[in-house]
Amino acid sequence: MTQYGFFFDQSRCYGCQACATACKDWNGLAPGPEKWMTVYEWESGAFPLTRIHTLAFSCGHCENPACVPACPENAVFKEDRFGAVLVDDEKCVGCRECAKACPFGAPKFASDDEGEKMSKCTMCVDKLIRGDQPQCALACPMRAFDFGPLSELIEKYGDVRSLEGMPDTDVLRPAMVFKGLAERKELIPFDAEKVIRLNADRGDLPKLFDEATDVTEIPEGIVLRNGLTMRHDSAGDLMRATRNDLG
Amino acid sequence: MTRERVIGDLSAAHDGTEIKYTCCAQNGCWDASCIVRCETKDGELVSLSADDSINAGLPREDVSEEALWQGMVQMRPCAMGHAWKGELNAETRILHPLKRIGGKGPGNGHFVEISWEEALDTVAGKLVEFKEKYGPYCIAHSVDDVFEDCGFKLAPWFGMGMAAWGDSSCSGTTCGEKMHLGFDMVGAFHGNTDVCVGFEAPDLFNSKLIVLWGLDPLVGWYGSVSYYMKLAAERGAQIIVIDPRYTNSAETLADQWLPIRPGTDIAMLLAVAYVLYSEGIYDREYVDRWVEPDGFEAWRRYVMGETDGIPKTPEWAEPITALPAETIRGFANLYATSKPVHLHFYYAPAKRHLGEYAANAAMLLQAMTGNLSIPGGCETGCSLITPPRMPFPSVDWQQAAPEYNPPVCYNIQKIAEAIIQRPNLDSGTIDEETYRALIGSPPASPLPNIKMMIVENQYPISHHETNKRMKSLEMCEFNWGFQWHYGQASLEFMDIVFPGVNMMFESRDNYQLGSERFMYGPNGMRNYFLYADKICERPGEVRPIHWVHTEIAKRLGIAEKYNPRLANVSLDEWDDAVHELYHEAYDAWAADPAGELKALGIEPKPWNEFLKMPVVRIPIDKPFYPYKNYMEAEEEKSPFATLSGKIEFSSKTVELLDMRTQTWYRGGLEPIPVYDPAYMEGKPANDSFYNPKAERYPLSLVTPVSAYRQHACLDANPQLRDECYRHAIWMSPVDAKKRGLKDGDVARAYNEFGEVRMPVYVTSRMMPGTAAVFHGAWYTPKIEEKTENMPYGLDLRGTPNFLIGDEHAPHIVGALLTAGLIEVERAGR
Repeated sequence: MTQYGFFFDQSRCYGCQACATACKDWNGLAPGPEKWMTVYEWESGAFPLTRIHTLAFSCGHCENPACVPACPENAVFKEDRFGAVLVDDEKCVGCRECAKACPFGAPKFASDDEGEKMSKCTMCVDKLIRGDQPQCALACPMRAFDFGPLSELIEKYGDVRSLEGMPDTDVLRPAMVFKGLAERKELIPFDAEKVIRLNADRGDLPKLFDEATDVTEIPEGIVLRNGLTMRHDSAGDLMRATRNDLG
Repeated sequence: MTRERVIGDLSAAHDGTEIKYTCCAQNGCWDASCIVRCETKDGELVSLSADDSINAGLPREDVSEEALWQGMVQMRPCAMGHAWKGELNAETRILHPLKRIGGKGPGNGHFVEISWEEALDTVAGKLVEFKEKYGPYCIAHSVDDVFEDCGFKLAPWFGMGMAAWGDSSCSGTTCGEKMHLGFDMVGAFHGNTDVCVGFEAPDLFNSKLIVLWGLDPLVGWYGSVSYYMKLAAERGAQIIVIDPRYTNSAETLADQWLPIRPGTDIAMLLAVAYVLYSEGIYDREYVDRWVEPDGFEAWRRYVMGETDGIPKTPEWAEPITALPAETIRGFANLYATSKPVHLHFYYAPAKRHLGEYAANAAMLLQAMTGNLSIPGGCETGCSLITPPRMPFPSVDWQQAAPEYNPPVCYNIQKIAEAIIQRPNLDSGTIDEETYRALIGSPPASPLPNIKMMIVENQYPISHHETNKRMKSLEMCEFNWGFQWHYGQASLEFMDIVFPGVNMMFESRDNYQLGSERFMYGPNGMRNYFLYADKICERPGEVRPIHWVHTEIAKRLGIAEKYNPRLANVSLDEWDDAVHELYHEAYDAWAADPAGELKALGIEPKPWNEFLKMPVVRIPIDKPFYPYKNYMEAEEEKSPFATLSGKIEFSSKTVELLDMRTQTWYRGGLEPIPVYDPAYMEGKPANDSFYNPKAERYPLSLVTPVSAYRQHACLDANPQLRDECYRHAIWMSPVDAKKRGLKDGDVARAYNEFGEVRMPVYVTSRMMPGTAAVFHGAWYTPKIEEKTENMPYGLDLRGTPNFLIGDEHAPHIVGALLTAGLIEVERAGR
């Protein structure tokens, strides 16, 4: 078996969800939580030094998958040509042991109903066997993905096997390599503290805020998408975490 | 074997499919003409995949530098391009002609399904009746009366209809382009000039510095341009984003974000000019050659404070923009020393009250620094149109010569005003001059007397002051046109509705604004064309648009003039007959009578071979930059068609003409870009951050285009709405906290014009004191809750155009306004 995998370039991804939309379209998946491809967007920092992080993640098709041994029905298996982790829906009974085992949230369910069978990213093996490539990777308008034998990806893009904010990848070894956010450069002087001070005043009109800390210290629970959570307790949680506000 | 069964199940849907190609072409993303590969089976659409007409099977598409420079890359669609099944198969789709019973407006009247015969007879009968009763200027098209054209397709032979000046997209910049650069965008679209101010995407590789001012190209100008900006950044170009929002482009493309207060751009631009003038760091050679010297000096005097006593220093701009003076000065120095600079002041910041002066100042700065017309530069007006890279096939429809030329009667943004003020004109409450001034009516043109609207999109919610637009539609006697979905606000104001066809997939109709099915590349990349075929069958009684217009033409006795080649073709044969016209056009093109294709290295395939991969693409030799054909002409000639033939920092047209009476602008314009036009008498702009109204409505609202709607199109698509995104109002944590709001809370956003209810997105991507709502969300009226400022019912979805006023006074540059002042508070008090 040659382990195939993805390269994901966070510095190119703006979270547009073309990959996720193309995936659902190709696989005939209904709108809702059966998102084989999940696109996360979250922010860090405070004005005016905010950063936006994105992650388009389907399944790591791990070198040491946790979901395979976790399945009491032997429904989840590692396919022997590309290393894709697949599920046999004739064997799956919807016990969700796979979902408990996978820290990356790759097993998906169309609803919270008991007995709902698991489904997941297939690495587009139906396309791979025809010499084609995964639908998500071909759909990216920013060409943020690459796909191929993992060893070749590592050779080409380096051996960065995780992104900031992701659960630990050392043990399960998702077959993915990453490039992180682009570095910020200060091309011209920018005094963030002064910017905040200037933003407090509004000519003859009332001040917008009193203290700089009103801007920099964000009370708990006001900003919701301020971190990456990949495993979700319910369909609702997953939907909230994988929607952006670009519409 | 489990593996085989699983893979077999996955493959089943795609076995035995046929491949066709179409184009995801909608307005709202600059008609990007992305190429979509469609699998079909038994007349049904199975899947939508990205362009594979070149570099197939390369996810990263990391082709050679040469191929990138040549634009030999795919045209991959965004999420919308993959979501069309949700639109085609929507439960809300209108499938039959409809007739209104009862009054107009949400909650009034209802629709019944009628036959096509009745629908067509009714519309044709009303056209004849209205022409006789009210004359030729009683009919308007909700959007297509733009660019001095008439949207009523049968006007040239039926002798009824008007044109309007202006447009919606570049409407804040077209006036300045004319007055300062002598470029008439509308004329250029009509082929009246060979001046082209656009750029091809690979030209971005020539830029050392790219400044995206109010431009979020990843969302607002996709297609190749945003991708090439990223490639340029990876190759070392420096990118700065100047925007009140930390946009996705600010994160993904930029080195640095400069948060500027909405509507204060002119202050920063003047301060930049101050640094350039005072330190003498501008391109003297370029200025000597192309800039009219008196105007250059006039603007200098204003900028230096010699005319009004206020030097427009970075320190002066600091408290206005909320950007430190050192930052503004640093920007000016970097800008002056980084040639070539692609400084791109985009449409939105110009499409607000007095925003045109900022757009004009940006054009002048590009001229001053010699960046207006060089490789890697930017014209920063409409920045559209590059010469076609090859001849494209086109159909010979053999239409008869026009017998009637619809006159330009008003500005396209003033339709509602034209309707609402007309009774006041008729009753003598206002005089003719006042009426003309209110609607931007050119001197001596006929006056509009609109009684009938052709509504073919979500007109009232897609343009500022939605309530006023709806009222004006209600005042019309008879409205008709195509509509696509139940739940569209425009539907509530129509009398006869034709079920809309999705022309990208279900017919071989022309696209909007007349583009044919040989779609060629968008602004930014025009080195390819494709034949966008019909992909799947039409549902219900949906019929081709061209067939409908032809049927109306038959009833008016002009079908042989309007559409002679298809006038006698039955509906059953229609699609094939159109296909044959395109076949004929292709063959005529492929015959290459003038040898142009051969010279370009194009070897046309036979039609049937071509259809298997119906894309023709050729390499770009040297990317086009603004004015390239003039800058490189052997004989020196000026592309600047101003009175002086040079770039006029002080517009001589404005200096010489009385703009209040002699032009359609109908108001005082300043000849140079200024912070505080004299005619404002010291008052701030309607939507200014510093307008006293901000005491009541303290949040400065901007309304960008969405990543998931093409204007209003696709809003209800379940593959996008609430699946990929949430429609929410953006605000900063400091503003949210003050109002007791947290992310996800439902809020009411309101001002004197209207009120909407929607969830809140709390994010540090917003400056304090600002808010953003993406435009195009469909008005969802709560009919049982009508208020003074929401007479048709509260909006439960969040149409931001309810919150933006229609006042252009004292002059009309024709801008579609996109900004306002609002207050937001927790809903359900």
